[in-house]
Amino acid sequence: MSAEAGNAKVRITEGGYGTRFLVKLALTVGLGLSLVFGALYLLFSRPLEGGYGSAYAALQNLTQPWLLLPIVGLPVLVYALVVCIVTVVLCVYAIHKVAGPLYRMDRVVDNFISGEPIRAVFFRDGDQAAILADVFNAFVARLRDDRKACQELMVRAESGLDRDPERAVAEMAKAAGEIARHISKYR
Amino acid sequence: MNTMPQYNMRRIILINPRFQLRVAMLFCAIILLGGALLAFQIFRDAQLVLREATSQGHFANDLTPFQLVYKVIVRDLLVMAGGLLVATSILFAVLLRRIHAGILRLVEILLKSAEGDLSTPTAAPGPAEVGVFGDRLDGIRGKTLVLVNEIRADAAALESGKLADAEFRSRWDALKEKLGRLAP
Repeated sequence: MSAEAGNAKVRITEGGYGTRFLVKLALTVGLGLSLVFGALYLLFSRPLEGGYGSAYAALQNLTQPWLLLPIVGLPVLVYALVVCIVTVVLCVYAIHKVAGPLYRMDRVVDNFISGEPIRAVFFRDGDQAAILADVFNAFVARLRDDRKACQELMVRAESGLDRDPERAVAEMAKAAGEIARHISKYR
Repeated sequence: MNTMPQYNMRRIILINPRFQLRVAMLFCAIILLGGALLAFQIFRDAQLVLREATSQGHFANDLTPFQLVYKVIVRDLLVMAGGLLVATSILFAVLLRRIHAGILRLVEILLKSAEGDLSTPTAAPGPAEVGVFGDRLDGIRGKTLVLVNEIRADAAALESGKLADAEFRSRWDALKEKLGRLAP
Protein backbone atom coordinates (compact mmCIF):
# COMPACT_ATOMS: atom_id res chain seq x y z
CA MET A 1 0.00 0.00 0.00
CA SER A 2 1.58 3.27 -0.99
CA ALA A 3 1.30 5.98 1.60
CA GLU A 4 -0.63 8.45 -0.51
CA ALA A 5 -2.88 5.93 -2.19
CA GLY A 6 -3.53 4.21 1.09
CA ASN A 7 -4.58 7.36 2.94
CA ALA A 8 -8.04 7.33 1.44
CA LYS A 9 -8.69 3.78 2.66
CA VAL A 10 -6.90 3.83 5.99
CA ARG A 11 -9.22 3.68 8.99
CA ILE A 12 -7.59 5.11 12.06
CA THR A 13 -10.45 4.52 14.46
CA GLU A 14 -12.88 1.65 14.22
CA GLY A 15 -16.42 2.34 13.07
CA GLY A 16 -18.66 3.42 15.93
CA TYR A 17 -15.85 4.75 18.13
CA GLY A 18 -17.03 8.35 17.79
CA THR A 19 -20.70 7.44 17.83
CA ARG A 20 -20.35 5.44 21.03
CA PHE A 21 -18.63 8.34 22.75
CA LEU A 22 -21.25 10.84 21.58
CA VAL A 23 -24.12 8.56 22.61
CA LYS A 24 -22.63 8.20 26.10
CA LEU A 25 -22.12 11.95 26.30
CA ALA A 26 -25.68 12.59 25.07
CA LEU A 27 -27.05 10.18 27.69
CA THR A 28 -25.04 11.94 30.40
CA VAL A 29 -26.22 15.38 29.33
CA GLY A 30 -29.80 14.13 28.94
CA LEU A 31 -29.77 12.51 32.35
CA GLY A 32 -28.27 15.65 33.88
CA LEU A 33 -30.89 17.88 32.31
CA SER A 34 -33.64 15.49 33.47
CA LEU A 35 -32.28 15.87 36.99
CA VAL A 36 -32.39 19.65 36.61
CA PHE A 37 -36.00 19.35 35.51
CA GLY A 38 -36.77 17.10 38.49
CA ALA A 39 -35.08 19.48 40.93
CA LEU A 40 -36.91 22.49 39.48
CA TYR A 41 -40.17 20.53 39.68
CA LEU A 42 -39.59 19.89 43.38
CA LEU A 43 -38.54 23.46 44.11
CA PHE A 44 -41.38 25.10 42.19
CA SER A 45 -44.09 22.65 43.25
CA ARG A 46 -44.81 23.96 46.69
CA PRO A 47 -48.42 25.16 46.50
CA LEU A 48 -49.03 28.83 47.13
CA GLU A 49 -50.59 28.79 50.58
CA GLY A 50 -53.19 31.13 52.01
CA GLY A 51 -55.66 33.23 50.12
CA TYR A 52 -55.34 35.13 46.90
CA GLY A 53 -53.35 37.90 48.56
CA SER A 54 -50.76 35.57 50.05
CA ALA A 55 -50.44 33.69 46.77
CA TYR A 56 -49.97 36.97 44.93
CA ALA A 57 -47.31 38.09 47.40
CA ALA A 58 -45.55 34.71 47.21
CA LEU A 59 -45.48 34.85 43.42
CA GLN A 60 -44.16 38.39 43.48
CA ASN A 61 -41.54 37.32 45.96
CA LEU A 62 -40.55 34.51 43.64
CA THR A 63 -39.76 36.98 40.87
CA GLN A 64 -37.08 38.57 43.04
CA PRO A 65 -33.56 37.57 41.92
CA TRP A 66 -32.41 36.85 45.50
CA LEU A 67 -34.98 34.02 45.68
CA LEU A 68 -35.36 32.93 42.06
CA LEU A 69 -31.65 32.86 41.25
CA PRO A 70 -30.69 30.25 43.91
CA ILE A 71 -33.75 28.14 43.03
CA VAL A 72 -32.66 28.02 39.38
CA GLY A 73 -28.91 28.27 39.86
CA LEU A 74 -28.37 25.55 42.42
CA PRO A 75 -29.78 22.61 40.40
CA VAL A 76 -27.98 23.85 37.28
CA LEU A 77 -24.73 24.16 39.22
CA VAL A 78 -25.08 20.63 40.59
CA TYR A 79 -25.95 19.41 37.09
CA ALA A 80 -22.90 21.14 35.60
CA LEU A 81 -20.54 19.68 38.20
CA VAL A 82 -21.94 16.14 37.97
CA VAL A 83 -21.99 16.15 34.17
CA CYS A 84 -18.47 17.61 34.08
CA ILE A 85 -17.14 14.82 36.30
CA VAL A 86 -18.83 12.14 34.20
CA THR A 87 -17.59 13.85 31.03
CA VAL A 88 -14.01 13.90 32.32
CA VAL A 89 -14.25 10.15 32.98
CA LEU A 90 -15.78 9.54 29.53
CA CYS A 91 -13.15 11.66 27.78
CA VAL A 92 -10.23 10.13 29.66
CA TYR A 93 -11.51 6.65 28.84
CA ALA A 94 -12.27 7.43 25.16
CA ILE A 95 -8.96 9.21 24.53
CA HIS A 96 -7.17 6.41 26.39
CA LYS A 97 -8.03 4.21 23.41
CA VAL A 98 -5.81 6.44 21.28
CA ALA A 99 -3.30 7.66 23.88
CA GLY A 100 -2.69 4.14 25.22
CA PRO A 101 -1.39 2.70 21.96
CA LEU A 102 0.82 5.77 21.45
CA TYR A 103 2.17 5.32 24.97
CA ARG A 104 2.94 1.66 24.40
CA MET A 105 4.58 2.41 21.06
CA ASP A 106 6.62 5.11 22.75
CA ARG A 107 8.07 2.44 25.03
CA VAL A 108 8.96 0.33 22.01
CA VAL A 109 10.69 3.38 20.51
CA ASP A 110 12.62 3.72 23.79
CA ASN A 111 13.83 0.13 23.34
CA PHE A 112 14.77 0.85 19.75
CA ILE A 113 16.80 3.91 20.73
CA SER A 114 18.57 2.13 23.58
CA GLY A 115 19.46 -0.75 21.26
CA GLU A 116 17.47 -3.37 23.13
CA PRO A 117 15.66 -6.09 21.18
CA ILE A 118 12.39 -4.75 19.86
CA ARG A 119 9.20 -6.63 20.54
CA ALA A 120 6.33 -6.46 18.08
CA VAL A 121 3.74 -3.93 19.20
CA PHE A 122 0.43 -5.49 20.30
CA PHE A 123 -2.75 -3.53 20.75
CA ARG A 124 -5.55 -4.42 23.12
CA ASP A 125 -9.19 -4.95 22.24
CA GLY A 126 -10.84 -1.61 21.63
CA ASP A 127 -7.56 0.22 21.03
CA GLN A 128 -7.77 2.65 18.16
CA ALA A 129 -5.11 3.46 15.58
CA ALA A 130 -4.15 -0.22 15.37
CA ILE A 131 -2.79 0.41 11.89
CA LEU A 132 0.04 2.36 13.49
CA ALA A 133 1.26 -0.81 15.18
CA ASP A 134 0.92 -2.75 11.92
CA VAL A 135 3.02 -0.31 9.90
CA PHE A 136 5.58 0.08 12.69
CA ASN A 137 5.96 -3.70 12.93
CA ALA A 138 6.23 -3.85 9.13
CA PHE A 139 8.99 -1.20 9.18
CA VAL A 140 10.97 -3.09 11.83
CA ALA A 141 10.39 -6.38 10.00
CA ARG A 142 11.73 -4.86 6.76
CA LEU A 143 14.86 -3.63 8.54
CA ARG A 144 15.36 -7.06 10.08
CA ASP A 145 14.88 -8.80 6.73
CA ASP A 146 17.52 -6.56 5.17
CA ARG A 147 19.85 -7.11 8.10
CA LYS A 148 19.43 -10.88 7.87
CA ALA A 149 20.00 -10.84 4.11
CA CYS A 150 23.22 -8.85 4.63
CA GLN A 151 24.37 -11.13 7.43
CA GLU A 152 23.75 -14.17 5.24
CA LEU A 153 25.87 -12.62 2.51
CA MET A 154 28.67 -12.10 5.04
CA VAL A 155 28.46 -15.64 6.41
CA ARG A 156 28.50 -17.10 2.90
CA ALA A 157 31.50 -14.97 1.90
CA GLU A 158 33.40 -15.92 5.04
CA SER A 159 32.76 -19.64 4.66
CA GLY A 160 35.74 -20.27 2.41
CA LEU A 161 38.21 -18.35 4.56
CA ASP A 162 39.88 -21.50 5.94
CA ARG A 163 40.20 -23.28 2.59
CA ASP A 164 41.24 -20.49 0.25
CA PRO A 165 41.86 -17.16 2.07
CA GLU A 166 42.68 -15.15 -1.06
CA ARG A 167 39.56 -16.24 -2.87
CA ALA A 168 37.53 -15.73 0.31
CA VAL A 169 38.76 -12.15 0.68
CA ALA A 170 37.67 -11.47 -2.89
CA GLU A 171 34.29 -13.03 -2.06
CA MET A 172 34.07 -10.85 1.05
CA ALA A 173 34.80 -7.70 -0.94
CA LYS A 174 32.15 -8.76 -3.44
CA ALA A 175 29.70 -9.43 -0.58
CA ALA A 176 30.43 -5.97 0.84
CA GLY A 177 29.49 -4.47 -2.52
CA GLU A 178 26.26 -6.45 -2.56
CA ILE A 179 25.50 -5.26 0.98
CA ALA A 180 26.06 -1.65 -0.08
CA ARG A 181 23.67 -2.14 -2.98
CA HIS A 182 21.16 -3.97 -0.80
CA ILE A 183 20.87 -1.07 1.62
CA SER A 184 21.15 1.63 -1.04
CA LYS A 185 17.38 2.18 -0.88
CA TYR A 186 17.80 3.75 2.57
CA ARG A 187 18.35 7.45 2.22
CA MET B 1 1.18 -19.47 30.93
CA ASN B 2 0.57 -15.99 29.64
CA THR B 3 3.51 -14.91 27.52
CA MET B 4 2.35 -11.34 26.97
CA PRO B 5 4.83 -8.75 28.17
CA GLN B 6 4.13 -7.20 31.54
CA TYR B 7 3.41 -3.72 30.24
CA ASN B 8 0.67 -5.04 27.97
CA MET B 9 -1.21 -6.39 30.97
CA ARG B 10 -1.29 -3.16 32.94
CA ARG B 11 -4.43 -1.11 32.86
CA ILE B 12 -3.31 2.47 33.00
CA ILE B 13 -6.27 4.60 32.09
CA LEU B 14 -4.74 8.03 32.57
CA ILE B 15 -1.90 7.66 30.11
CA ASN B 16 -1.23 11.27 29.40
CA PRO B 17 -2.93 13.82 31.65
CA ARG B 18 -1.91 16.67 29.36
CA PHE B 19 -3.57 15.02 26.37
CA GLN B 20 -6.56 13.31 27.97
CA LEU B 21 -7.45 15.97 30.54
CA ARG B 22 -7.04 18.78 28.04
CA VAL B 23 -9.67 17.18 25.84
CA ALA B 24 -11.87 16.61 28.90
CA MET B 25 -11.46 20.27 29.90
CA LEU B 26 -12.65 21.39 26.46
CA PHE B 27 -15.83 19.37 26.87
CA CYS B 28 -16.25 20.62 30.43
CA ALA B 29 -15.88 24.21 29.24
CA ILE B 30 -18.76 23.66 26.82
CA ILE B 31 -20.88 22.06 29.55
CA LEU B 32 -20.12 24.81 32.08
CA LEU B 33 -20.82 27.51 29.51
CA GLY B 34 -24.04 25.70 28.59
CA GLY B 35 -24.94 25.46 32.28
CA ALA B 36 -24.39 29.17 32.80
CA LEU B 37 -26.49 30.00 29.75
CA LEU B 38 -29.17 27.54 30.89
CA ALA B 39 -29.36 29.03 34.37
CA PHE B 40 -29.56 32.54 32.95
CA GLN B 41 -32.20 31.58 30.38
CA ILE B 42 -34.41 29.71 32.86
CA PHE B 43 -34.05 32.52 35.38
CA ARG B 44 -34.99 35.16 32.84
CA ASP B 45 -37.91 33.20 31.33
CA ALA B 46 -39.29 32.07 34.70
CA GLN B 47 -39.07 35.60 36.04
CA LEU B 48 -40.90 36.88 32.98
CA VAL B 49 -43.66 34.28 33.26
CA LEU B 50 -44.08 34.84 37.00
CA ARG B 51 -44.18 38.61 36.53
CA GLU B 52 -46.79 38.24 33.80
CA ALA B 53 -48.88 36.02 36.05
CA THR B 54 -48.73 38.49 38.93
CA SER B 55 -49.44 41.46 36.71
CA GLN B 56 -52.50 39.75 35.17
CA GLY B 57 -53.55 38.30 38.49
CA HIS B 58 -55.24 35.28 36.88
CA PHE B 59 -54.24 32.31 38.97
CA ALA B 60 -56.10 29.77 41.03
CA ASN B 61 -55.60 29.30 44.77
CA ASP B 62 -54.19 25.76 44.46
CA LEU B 63 -51.73 26.84 41.80
CA THR B 64 -48.06 25.93 42.08
CA PRO B 65 -45.34 28.07 40.47
CA PHE B 66 -44.31 25.00 38.51
CA GLN B 67 -47.58 25.07 36.58
CA LEU B 68 -46.69 28.56 35.44
CA VAL B 69 -43.07 27.98 34.53
CA TYR B 70 -42.85 24.35 33.36
CA LYS B 71 -43.35 25.22 29.69
CA VAL B 72 -40.42 27.62 29.58
CA ILE B 73 -38.29 25.24 31.65
CA VAL B 74 -38.98 22.35 29.27
CA ARG B 75 -38.31 24.58 26.27
CA ASP B 76 -35.05 25.90 27.71
CA LEU B 77 -33.88 22.42 28.70
CA LEU B 78 -34.63 21.02 25.24
CA VAL B 79 -32.89 23.92 23.53
CA MET B 80 -29.88 23.48 25.81
CA ALA B 81 -29.79 19.70 25.26
CA GLY B 82 -29.81 20.27 21.50
CA GLY B 83 -27.21 23.00 21.71
CA LEU B 84 -24.91 20.92 23.89
CA LEU B 85 -25.22 17.92 21.59
CA VAL B 86 -24.39 20.00 18.53
CA ALA B 87 -21.47 21.77 20.25
CA THR B 88 -19.96 18.59 21.71
CA SER B 89 -20.43 16.73 18.42
CA ILE B 90 -18.62 19.50 16.55
CA LEU B 91 -15.82 19.57 19.13
CA PHE B 92 -15.47 15.79 19.02
CA ALA B 93 -15.45 15.77 15.22
CA VAL B 94 -12.73 18.44 15.16
CA LEU B 95 -10.64 16.56 17.74
CA LEU B 96 -11.06 13.26 15.94
CA ARG B 97 -10.13 14.89 12.65
CA ARG B 98 -6.94 16.31 14.17
CA ILE B 99 -6.02 12.97 15.71
CA HIS B 100 -6.74 11.22 12.38
CA ALA B 101 -4.57 13.70 10.49
CA GLY B 102 -1.66 13.20 12.90
CA ILE B 103 -1.87 9.42 12.93
CA LEU B 104 -2.29 9.25 9.16
CA ARG B 105 0.95 11.19 8.81
CA LEU B 106 2.69 8.75 11.18
CA VAL B 107 1.35 5.83 9.15
CA GLU B 108 2.46 7.47 5.92
CA ILE B 109 5.97 8.11 7.27
CA LEU B 110 6.30 4.56 8.59
CA LEU B 111 5.23 3.19 5.20
CA LYS B 112 7.81 5.43 3.51
CA SER B 113 10.41 4.33 6.04
CA ALA B 114 9.75 0.68 5.19
CA GLU B 115 10.40 1.64 1.56
CA GLY B 116 13.71 3.24 2.56
CA ASP B 117 12.92 6.91 3.18
CA LEU B 118 14.47 7.62 6.56
CA SER B 119 15.10 11.32 6.12
CA THR B 120 11.77 13.01 5.38
CA PRO B 121 10.71 14.69 8.64
CA THR B 122 7.45 13.41 10.10
CA ALA B 123 6.09 16.81 11.15
CA ALA B 124 2.82 15.18 12.21
CA PRO B 125 -0.09 17.59 12.50
CA GLY B 126 -2.76 17.32 15.17
CA PRO B 127 -2.38 17.03 18.94
CA ALA B 128 1.02 17.86 20.42
CA GLU B 129 1.40 14.30 21.70
CA VAL B 130 1.16 12.90 18.18
CA GLY B 131 3.75 15.46 17.09
CA VAL B 132 6.06 14.43 19.93
CA PHE B 133 5.68 10.78 18.96
CA GLY B 134 6.48 11.79 15.36
CA ASP B 135 9.67 13.45 16.62
CA ARG B 136 10.59 10.26 18.47
CA LEU B 137 10.01 8.28 15.27
CA ASP B 138 12.29 10.74 13.46
CA GLY B 139 14.85 9.99 16.17
CA ILE B 140 14.89 6.25 15.47
CA ARG B 141 14.77 6.81 11.72
CA GLY B 142 17.68 9.22 11.97
CA LYS B 143 19.63 6.82 14.16
CA THR B 144 18.95 4.00 11.68
CA LEU B 145 20.06 6.20 8.79
CA VAL B 146 23.33 7.08 10.54
CA LEU B 147 23.95 3.37 11.11
CA VAL B 148 23.06 2.53 7.51
CA ASN B 149 25.47 5.24 6.29
CA GLU B 150 28.26 3.78 8.44
CA ILE B 151 27.49 0.29 7.07
CA ARG B 152 27.49 1.71 3.56
CA ALA B 153 30.86 3.41 4.14
CA ASP B 154 32.39 0.22 5.54
CA ALA B 155 30.96 -1.84 2.71
CA ALA B 156 32.27 0.61 0.10
CA ALA B 157 35.74 0.58 1.67
CA LEU B 158 35.75 -3.23 1.73
CA GLU B 159 34.58 -3.44 -1.87
CA SER B 160 37.24 -1.01 -3.07
CA GLY B 161 40.00 -3.59 -2.50
CA LYS B 162 42.43 -0.89 -1.38
CA LEU B 163 42.59 -1.98 2.25
CA ALA B 164 45.50 -3.81 3.82
CA ASP B 165 44.74 -7.23 5.31
CA ALA B 166 44.54 -6.05 8.92
CA GLU B 167 42.43 -3.05 7.96
CA PHE B 168 40.20 -5.28 5.84
CA ARG B 169 39.61 -7.68 8.77
CA SER B 170 38.95 -4.81 11.13
CA ARG B 171 36.47 -3.18 8.73
CA TRP B 172 34.80 -6.53 8.11
CA ASP B 173 34.31 -7.09 11.83
CA ALA B 174 33.06 -3.53 12.24
CA LEU B 175 30.57 -4.12 9.43
CA LYS B 176 29.37 -7.29 11.13
CA GLU B 177 28.95 -5.52 14.46
CA LYS B 178 27.07 -2.61 12.90
CA LEU B 179 24.75 -4.92 11.00
CA GLY B 180 23.96 -6.63 14.29
CA ARG B 181 22.77 -3.32 15.67
CA LEU B 182 20.32 -2.76 12.81
CA ALA B 183 16.83 -3.42 14.27
CA PRO B 184 17.99 -5.86 16.97
